[in-house]
Amino acid sequence: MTGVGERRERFEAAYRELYAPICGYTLRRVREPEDAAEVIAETFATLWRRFDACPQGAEMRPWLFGVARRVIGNQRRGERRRTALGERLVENLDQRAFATADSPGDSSALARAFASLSDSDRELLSLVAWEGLTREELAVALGANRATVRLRLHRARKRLRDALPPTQARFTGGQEHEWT
Amino acid sequence: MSGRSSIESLRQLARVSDVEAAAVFGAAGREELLEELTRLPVGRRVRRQPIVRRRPFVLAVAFVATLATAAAAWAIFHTSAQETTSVECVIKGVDTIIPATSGDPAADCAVQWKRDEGTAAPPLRAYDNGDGGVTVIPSSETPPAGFKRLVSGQDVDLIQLQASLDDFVNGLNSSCLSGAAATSLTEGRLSQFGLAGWTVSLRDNGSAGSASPAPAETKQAPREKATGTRAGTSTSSTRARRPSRCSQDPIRTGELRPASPTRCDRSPSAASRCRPPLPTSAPPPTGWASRSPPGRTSSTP
Repeated sequence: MTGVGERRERFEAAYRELYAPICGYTLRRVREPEDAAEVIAETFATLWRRFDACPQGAEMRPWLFGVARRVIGNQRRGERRRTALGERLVENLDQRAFATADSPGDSSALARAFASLSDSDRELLSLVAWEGLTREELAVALGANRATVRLRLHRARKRLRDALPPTQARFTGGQEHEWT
Repeated sequence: MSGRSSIESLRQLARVSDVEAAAVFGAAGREELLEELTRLPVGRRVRRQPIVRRRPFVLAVAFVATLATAAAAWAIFHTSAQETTSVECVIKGVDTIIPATSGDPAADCAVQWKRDEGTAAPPLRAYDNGDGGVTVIPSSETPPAGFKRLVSGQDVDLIQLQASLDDFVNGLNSSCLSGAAATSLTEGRLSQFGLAGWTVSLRDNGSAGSASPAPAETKQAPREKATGTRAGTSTSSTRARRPSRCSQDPIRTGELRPASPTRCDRSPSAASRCRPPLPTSAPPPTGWASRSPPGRTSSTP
């Protein structure tokens, strides 16, 4: 098999493994299907371009979350773009499936407290809770060292706890090792 | 509540599971994207042309105002890289486009790097990327072919002008301005920033039937060769093509047209989604606006 063919095969395997997690990551943070399609397409385009230099194995997934995070950051700064790749993807939008994904937001005290956090804190906590990243994987996704991640996570937890009503303040007061 | 259950509780806030999310674009979407991706060139940045979407626009008057902004912005972008007002920062391999703030692209990207990564940026270097934009990459990286070291920074006056025109409080985004008001405002700002040799004009938009602020099919650039560059980084190009969806107060404008639902209308952050287009790569239609800096020739009427 040629180098090009082998590269494509390895990329395809990674793509199939990571497509759903990246779709999930994106659609949990981006509400518009067009924007989500752009993020997904751009994220995997970056993976394709940098496939030879990006982390391989278990580190690829958190690294790709980091890529998606920055692509979303671009969008949130108002730098939206429409590309052929994203257009192609959004052409396949399944409205019924999107309706399921576009469920109304939670209005619980926890949801309100979570929403009141900074983008940075929310991202940190959701990477743990939604993407299931470990501390090591968080460090890869955020491009920071483990000590920094641990500290930021600790502070995010505290701010979430502070944002909760007193009756629920024990929410994040449990086994800290689960979080850090 | 234990740490474990707290994780579970937060997990339940997730709107959608991975499986549900993957179903949104279907198996066909997944396979088509894979097919398209593997056709992309390998190992270098890919500059894709944005897609032009034509949608009905909401307000004719807003459109005129938008054209004024577009024209002014085009005039800014359609010159040399140093006259752009955005910077492309390549942060760990990902293009991140930011508005220029200081005139020093490397410094602006260092700030963005710190914001994104939480760590200090490595030494950075700014380049004219050959597409009329400024790209900043770590000094340790070899620039792609066609990149030229930027010897001086971006024009701070232009950066301030752009920010001023974009302002949602007292700039062109503050309301749906008439053509005359938009022109007057733009001319006032040009004067305020000491930018001589510019003219601002509006396209005759009497039909007002197409939301095409920067038609890609327009071939003739008023002064495309003035600087010998084709303006715009990839993202900036997109900003150029985004149709404006200004849904301002109908009483003030008095000309609210039936509008199909737009994301702008639904979004709680409508303001940020209603940014006017900033033409870069696509030349504006003849007669939009032109810039005639001293010593340069303008071909615009």
